[in-house]
Parts: sequence; structure tokens; C-alpha cells
Amino acid sequence: MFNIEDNEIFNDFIEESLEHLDGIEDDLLKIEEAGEDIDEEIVNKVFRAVHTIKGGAGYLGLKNVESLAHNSENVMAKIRARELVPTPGIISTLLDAMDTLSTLINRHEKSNEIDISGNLTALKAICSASLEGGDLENISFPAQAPSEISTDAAAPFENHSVLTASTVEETLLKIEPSVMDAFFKQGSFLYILQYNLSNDTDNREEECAKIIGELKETGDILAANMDGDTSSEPVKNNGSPLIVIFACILENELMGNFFDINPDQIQQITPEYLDQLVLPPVSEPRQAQPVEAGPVSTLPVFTEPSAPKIMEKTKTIQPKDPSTKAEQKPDNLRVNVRLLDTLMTLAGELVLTRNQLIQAVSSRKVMGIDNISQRLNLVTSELQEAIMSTRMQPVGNVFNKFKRIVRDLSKNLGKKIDLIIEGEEVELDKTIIESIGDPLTHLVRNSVDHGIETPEKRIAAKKPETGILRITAYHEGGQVMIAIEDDGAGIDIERVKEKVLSMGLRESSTLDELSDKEIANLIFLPGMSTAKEITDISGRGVGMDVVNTNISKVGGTVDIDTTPGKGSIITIKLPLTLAIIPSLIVTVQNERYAVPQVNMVELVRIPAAKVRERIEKIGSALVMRLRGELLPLIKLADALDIEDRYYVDQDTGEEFPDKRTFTEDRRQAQNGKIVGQAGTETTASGREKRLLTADRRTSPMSAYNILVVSVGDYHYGLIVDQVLDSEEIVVKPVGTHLRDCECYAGASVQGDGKVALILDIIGISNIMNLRTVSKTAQKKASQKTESKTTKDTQSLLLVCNAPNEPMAIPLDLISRIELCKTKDIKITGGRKNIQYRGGPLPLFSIDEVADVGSPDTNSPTCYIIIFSISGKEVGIVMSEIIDIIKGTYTIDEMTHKQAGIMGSTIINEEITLLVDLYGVIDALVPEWTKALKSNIKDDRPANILVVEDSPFFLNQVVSFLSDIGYNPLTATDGIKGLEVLNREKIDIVLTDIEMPHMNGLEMTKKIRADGRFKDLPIIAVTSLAGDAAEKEGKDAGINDYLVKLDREKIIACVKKYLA
Amino acid sequence: MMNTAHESTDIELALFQIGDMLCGLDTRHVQEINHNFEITPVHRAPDYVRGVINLRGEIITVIDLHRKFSMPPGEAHDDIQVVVVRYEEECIALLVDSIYDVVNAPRSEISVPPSNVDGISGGFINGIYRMERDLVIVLDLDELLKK
Repeated sequence: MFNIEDNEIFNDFIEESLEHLDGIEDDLLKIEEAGEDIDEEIVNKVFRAVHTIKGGAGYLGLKNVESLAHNSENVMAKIRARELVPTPGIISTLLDAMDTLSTLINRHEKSNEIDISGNLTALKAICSASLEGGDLENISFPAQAPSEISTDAAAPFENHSVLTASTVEETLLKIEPSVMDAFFKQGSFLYILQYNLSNDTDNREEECAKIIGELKETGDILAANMDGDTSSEPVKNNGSPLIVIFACILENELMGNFFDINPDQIQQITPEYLDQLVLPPVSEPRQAQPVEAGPVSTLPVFTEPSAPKIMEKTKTIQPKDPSTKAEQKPDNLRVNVRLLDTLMTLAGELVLTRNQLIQAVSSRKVMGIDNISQRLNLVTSELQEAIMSTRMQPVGNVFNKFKRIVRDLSKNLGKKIDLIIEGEEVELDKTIIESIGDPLTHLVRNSVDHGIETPEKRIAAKKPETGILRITAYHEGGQVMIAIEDDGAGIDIERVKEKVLSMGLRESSTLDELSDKEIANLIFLPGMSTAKEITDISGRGVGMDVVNTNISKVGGTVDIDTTPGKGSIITIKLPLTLAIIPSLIVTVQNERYAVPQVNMVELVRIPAAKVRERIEKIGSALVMRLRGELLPLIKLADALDIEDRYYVDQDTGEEFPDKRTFTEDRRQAQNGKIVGQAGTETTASGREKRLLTADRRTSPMSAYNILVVSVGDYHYGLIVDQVLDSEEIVVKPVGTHLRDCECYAGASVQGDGKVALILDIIGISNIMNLRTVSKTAQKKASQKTESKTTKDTQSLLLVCNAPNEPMAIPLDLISRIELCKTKDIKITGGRKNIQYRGGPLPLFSIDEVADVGSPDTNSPTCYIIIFSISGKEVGIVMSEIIDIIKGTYTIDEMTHKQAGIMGSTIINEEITLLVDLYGVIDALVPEWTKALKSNIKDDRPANILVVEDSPFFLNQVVSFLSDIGYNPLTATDGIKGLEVLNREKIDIVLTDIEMPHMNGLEMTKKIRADGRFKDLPIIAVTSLAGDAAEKEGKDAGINDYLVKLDREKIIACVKKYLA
Repeated sequence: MMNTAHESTDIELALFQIGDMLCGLDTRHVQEINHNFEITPVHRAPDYVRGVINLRGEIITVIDLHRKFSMPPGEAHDDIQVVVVRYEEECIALLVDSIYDVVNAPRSEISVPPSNVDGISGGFINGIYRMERDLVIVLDLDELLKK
């Protein structure tokens, strides 16, 4: 070792060199791409960078670094002088040299002891070949050079006893690959064996001789770190193991029986391993950088897993692994100086504001404080923004690594791939950038390995020989999307199905109902790997489920879209930052918790009266019925193991339908409890107050507030006491003592200074073991689906505009419902609107069109029902949301029909008006609905046969079809439909599937059987979804499948077929 | 951490009361002594964790020394007193019944602890400091806070 006088200099050198190397890799790839067309600037840049490293290394006495840099520089000089054409072979050699350089620099203390001869030979060979003007193809690149199996003597094996620092010294055994090949051809197996020798010097020589003798009886010794010479390493040094490369015909499993050796100490060399050795041996250290783990990482099976183990066991050993070292280094972040200046200015502003505030407070000047607080608000938010932006980094940092990975991989696999990277400049939070590296690498490798086919297969499939892998990043809706798109074979849906079934992850009946896309997304389930054979590149047990978990850890989602034969697109949705997340604040037992919005699916409120029909029990688990699905349900209080202070009657055996009495019991019991327990008095009395003042019917005590949350592949319901508000919260870590609590993802400080813990939705589902519950529930739900889907039901949102005037809106038409403050609604240009998601959202009221009551204008809040019309989002203001109901209702279209109201029905014994969302818009802004009406120019309006048994849907469809000028004819079942068809000239048929007497499918078959109607377009308008149903329909002869009441789609489809 | 006896002859001890015991902690570990916090309970946490507090924007775990020492719970206070200590890059609040004083204790006056003091495992105790009237139990922070 050399004296390190000044660590500073070293650190500067390392930092600078690594930065250079980072750039070099990219530049070398560019040079390779350019080929003969040398871009001198880039070549010069690399040359200079290498030269700088050489200079620094020479000064610091890093001989190996210097000589490697020097030789690389020579090659670069020849490329620059155009004496050498940068072929992929040469670039590979240079890239490997750069990898070695980076290793040497990372381990500079030991760099002079690391063997770099492989790189040097290769580099020199290139130089000399060019000097002789020789044929470059024949140069022995490391690929053809003797393979060196560089074994960290101790590393290959789990050494349990005698590891000391000296054993970590590298031992090098050299064998010609041809020799190994010869043995493979004979059918022998090759092994690297490691023997731990005794401590007694005298015995060791004898021991070695004995082992060698024993081995020679059974097979051939190719090499050993002892050659009969007593001064050899294992004999001389205490603790040095004896390492032998050994060929014999015994299988790995049998080795232990024949030889006195621990199975851990046997390492098999396979022909595949040799193939991988085609990559130069120096690549070993590269695997230490996880993101870069290309194919080479699998190469030295030897060192990767064991190196850290050694460190665990014998702490005296210097950490060798550069990555472990990197972890110890504090994280550094580069910040633009201009940004720093902004921060300084803002900090100055803040100080100024503080001084003003202090002055104002001390002089009791109330007047100024208003201004100051406003200023403070401004400065703080600007400061926050500026500081946040220091954390933002371009995704290019991650993407650029893929160039190398894709290049190396495709070479290795003999595939031709064009990598296109777009949107490198899109910025993400540093933590997110760091955590998506591995998942993205995995996905890219997957695409290269499994996605894109070999050139032969591609030609056979009539595709261009070169596959395209496109990685794109872009902003969408306040989130960052990363898409990995390949034009390869796509995912074999059938194989995914097979695998899911064989693993028992889903029932086959459930699978039938899933679309191809949904099935493709099942590959994210744990245990799924569809690769037929496990290759080294992907499919090493790190499945897509890990990708999914990692992405969801940072609050992102993964989605896959695949077309067999055409390729797949994997889309990752990521939040911009982790530090501030939108979340929902809920309470349970008067404690506040935050639920990240990313986990939220919807909020469901089950009134006490409905609990009986909506909530069931499977075994001891609660499940909720939600639109035909059964969701596992847990109380947050149970999940958090809160000792229930209010429920005295904690009888879990009690049946749920008794909810109402149960609630009553709770109230009475509580009073008794307060007397007995002084400690809970404050909270209990607060609660009591609320109980007394709150309206009994709307009190949260009698209804269930359920958060439906998503855990990747399934949803569950979380029962909370109250849902307070949605808030942007700042995520803070919790202390080490709480890290083991799976149910929290962190904490945040609320506006009032109190702490709210952030719930970890995945952790809670793990604690409560909800996956199993979800499975049983799915099973149960699928058993019941048959009886359920045969009947058409309508989901209606019950709302109130004016008090006591209930209205209903078909739920399928609504995109979202938002609660907003009445004062936020502005009138601009004579039209009401509100700022929503960064733009104005036009708002309408039902009382502007229809003769109905007006809302109470004093109410501070109102609800906005958002739906889309002609691709535009609009909102209808309602003052109250009552419920969502599901059922079959008879619509009276006479009594109350008017603009904006399609009719009325009786719901909960009250006359309820049905709102016609399109009608409202049509009456107020007819130009917006014009798009739907245009295009009908024929003199004779097209005759459309609508076959539908539910009068509600029938009327709906008929009304909007005639609105735009078609001539709808109706029938209530298949038989009647056929009658009409025979009687009238019909241009297109819209039919329901489930109908009495003759269903839509039978009718379609009958129609198709009739020669006259074989080209008649038939469109199914149904609530039956799922691929199986759709396929059945198409087989019967249905042209298109549409979801009921989606007016725009239905019209578009009708137009399409009539055109 | 504590075996730096040769460095100086005195150590500064922050004294506080837990139950009926007088305890001391080397002030080098103590960041601050504070009071009047609202503790947010953390369910499913280890039983000796009383909850978390917001200390100037940082979320700090509050350790209940009564529970740690398996003592009966202390009386509920309106004003919560904590000793905030630094432990392995992290701030942790120790919940105490009352705060006393900071004293200089000569090392020579600190004796080796018995294996068990008033039912508290000797592992938590670094030594016993004999003051004029009282005995101060000098706590071993590492032992107290390690998981």
C-alpha cells in the first residue's frame, strides 16, 4: 500500500474519474454506432477523459490504473487517427477496460494488486494488429484469449470456519477453454473444489497430497493452486484453501458421497458458464453495481452472493465490494447553482419576513400582521417548491444505462435491437429515480430476452429483422409515465392462463371472464414466470411480481398491454415525488390516519339499514358485496389492534344483521364506561357530545364508512369511523423502534401540529391475511355470478338539488363526483365554472333547465357530478348526495318529463326524478351536443331496431336515437324482434343479450341464418362484460359489443355501421 | 459509548424521576428536555413505545420507561415531560415523570451496579451514583434503546 497523505485528493480523483467514466460509456456506444464515420469531437472527448484519468493515476501512484488508461488511450489515439475502425469488438474491449478502470478506481487501495492482464493483452493486441495492418478479425480479443477463472479463493464457497483476511486474496487458475471443451465432449463434469486445510503446517502438505491422490483416482485434475511444490500457497499459508479444478463423470449430487468435501465447497462449471466466459473475466466487479447487472452479472457465479457473506462472518476483512462502499458514502446531490441562488434569495426573504413579524408582534401592530402572513405564505411555498426541485432529476440518468445493457444483451443473445429512448429530460424525485432502476432494468431485460425474437424468427413472422425497443417517459395528469414498448412476440395469453391455473392462483371460471389485457396483467402475481426455460438473463426467480412490488412501494402502478405477435407495452405510472403525497384523512376512535390516494379505489358508505344485505361473513371474515363482487372487509380498529374503548359488547360471534341494536347497545354501554375509566374521559365525553348533537340518521355511528383500497391484484374494504378530507401531506419517516410495524408507511404532521400516521395498505392486508380471504371471496362471488348476471339492473345515484326533491342519475354515465366549496364556483362569461385539475370545468344546474326547486344558496359546499359529453368534461351541481342504489325500476315517462328530466320513478317510497344529463347540456349549450347529431343527411331516417326487455333502457336508447333523427323501432324480446324484422326494413339492430323468451344470442343466430340479413349489422348493448361473453356473442354473429347507456359510444357505433 | 472513563474525571448527569427512582443520563446523549406534547398513540408498536410526538416537524418515538422497566404505569400527567436523546442518528424521547437537575458526578463516585435494582434488570444500568442523600441510577442508553 502507498501512503495516503491526503484523502481529499483521492476522493476528488475518484469522483472526477468516475464521472468521466460514466460519460465515456455513452460516448463509446456512440462511436460504435458511427462506425467508420468518426465523430472526432466524441473521440477526442473520450481521449481527453482517459488521459485525465491516466494523469491523475500516475500522480497518485495507481500503477494499474495508469497502465490500463494508457493502453486504452493508445487505442483511442489510433481510432482518432483513423488507423482503426471502431468495430463492435474493439468497442467491447474498450468498454470492458473502462469497467475494469472503474473497479480499480473504486478499490484504489488494492488496485495495484488486481490482475488486469486480460484487458492489457486485448488492448495491446488491437494496437499491434493495427500496426501490422493485420486482419482485425483474427485478433485475439479476450473472448478468444485464455479464459481465466478468477476465483476469489474464499468467495465461491460459504466458508464457515477459517476465513481470515489472507484468504480473500485473489487466486488465479488458468485453463485453456479448449481443454475444458474436450472434457465436456467426453461427458465429464467440471468442478471447482475448495478444501479447507488444517492449521498445522506439517500436516498440510500431506493433506494436500492425499486429496490430490484421491481425486486423481476418480478423475482428472485440470489445475490446482498447488503443483507439488511445497512452497505453494495452500501449503505455506495458514488458512489458504486448496483449490482444484477437477473433471470427472460424477454428477454434482454425488460428489459429496465420494469425496470428503462439504457440498458448499463444490462449484460446478457448465458449458454455459464457459460460453459466458466469452465475456472477459474482468467483468466480475461490474456486478457490484446492481443497475448495470447485465448478462455478465451471472457470469462469476462465484463471487456475487458470497462476498457479502464473508464480510458478515469475519468483520476484519476490508470491504471489497465497491457497492458496499458506495452505501457507506453519504449521498451526494448535484444542484444547479442558479437554483441555489434562488434558494438563498428565498431564505433571505424568509429572514426578512421573520424580522417584520417579530417587529409587528412586539409592537402589537395588528395591522401589519395580515400582510406579513401573506408574504410568509408566499415565501414558504416558493421555498418549498425550490427545495423540491433540487430533488428532481432527469430519468435519463436511469435510461442511459439501458443502452449498454441492451447492447450487451442483444449481442449475447444474437438479436438485433434498436433502442429508442425518448423523454430523458422528464424529471422525477431522486428517491423514485433510485428505486425504479432495478425494476426498469428487469423489464428491459425481459423485453430483450423474451419479448423480441431472434432475427430468424422475426423474418419468419414477416417482421423487420431488427426489433425495436422503445423507452419513453412523459407527463400525464400530474404523474410521470414510463412506457417500455417492444415489437416482439408479445405475451402468450394461453400460457399465462395455463400457468395461473396450474399454480391455482385463479379459478378457470374467473379466467374466462377476464379480458386478454387483464390476463396479461396476471403475470404480476407472485410465482408467475412464463419463460419456458429459465435463462440467465431474466427469470432468475426475480419475477414480475417483484417489479410490481418495487414500483408500488414508491406509489406507482404497472400495467401491461400485449398483442400476440405484435409486441407488448408496459406502462409504469409514477408520482412526481414521494415527499408530498395526496392522501385521505380518516379517523378511527378519534385518532387520525392518512391513507395515500394511490391506494384508494373508492369510498362506500353503507347505511345501517343496508348493512344486512351488503355485508356477509365467510368463516370468521367479513366481506362486502360491491357490484357483484365480494370484497374482504376489515375494521381499521381491528387492523390496528386498538383496544376498543367504546364497544363493551365485543362479541365477535354476534351476527352482523343485528347492526342496529348493536349500535344502540354501544351507546348505552359507553355511558357506563365513562364512569369507570377516568383515563378515557376526555375523548369519551367529546364523542358523547358529538353523538348527542349529531343527527341520528346521518351519524357515522349507524353507517359504515368503507374505504375500498387496492393492493395490486385485489381490493379490500377498510371500515373507518369518519372520512375527514383529502389533503396533501408531507411524508416523514418514523423511528427505528416502529419500523417493524407493518401497518404504517410513515407519519405526517397535520395543520394543527398533531401527528397522523400514514397507513400502509399493503402491510395491513398482510397482517390481516386478506389475500386468502380475498381468494375465498372471489370463489364465492364467482359461484354466484351466474344467477346475478341474468337480470338487468340499474345503478342509480340518488341526489338532491333542492331539499326534499330526490333525483336519480344513471351511475354508468358519471365519471366522478367531487365535493367543492360553493364559493369556489365562479361565473365567467355568463357561465358557471370551477377550477378543477388545472383547468376550468363548466358547471350546470338542473334548475337552469327544468322546473325544479333551487338549491339552498347558503350551503357552504356542494357536489359536482362530472361526466363527459363529446369528449368534454362537464359538471352538474347538486347540493346533496343521498345514496347509490341498484335495482329494477319502472320509469314513468309521462308525468314529469321535461327538458333535463327523462321521467320519474318511485325509490324508497318517494317520487324521484330521473335526470337526463345530456338533455341538460342539450338545452343549455346545444352546440356541444351538435357533434352527436350531425351527419344524418339521408332523406329517409335509418330504421333502427332496438330489442330490449327493460323498459328503462329501451326508452333511454329510443329517446336518444330519435333525438338525433333516427327512426327507432322497438321489441321487448327476441321473438318480437324477429317479427319486426320481417315486417319492416331495418338498417341496424341494437339488442340486449339477456331477455325472456328468446335471448339476444339466439335471435342473432336466427337472423344470421336468414340469407336476407347476413350483412345486417347487429350490435349488442349489454351489461354482460367479459371476454367469454363477447366471444360467444361474436361467434353468434354480433358485430360489436357495447356497454349499456354509454350514449356516445352507441351513437358512434351506429354511425359507423350505417356509414 | 460509556466506557470513556479515562477521558475526564467528571460526567454530567441529567437527573429525572421514573416512578420512585431517581435516574441519571450522561448529558452528552441528551439533546433537550421538553414538555407539553400531545402523544399520538401507535398501535401494534412494541409495548414500551408510548407513541410519537411532533418535535419541530420531526416525528419522534416516545419510549415509556415505566414499561421498559416493567414498572406499574405512572399517574397520567397533563403535562408530558420528555428527555430527548440522540441515539444512532435518530432522536428518541424518553417519557419521564419529572425532571430534576443536572449534576457533575465524579467517576470515582459511580459504583458498579448490582445485577438488579428495584426489579430493573442490571443490563439497563451503567452504574450507581451516590449523591449526598439519594442514589442515582445511571442508565445505559445503548442498552435501553437497542431493539
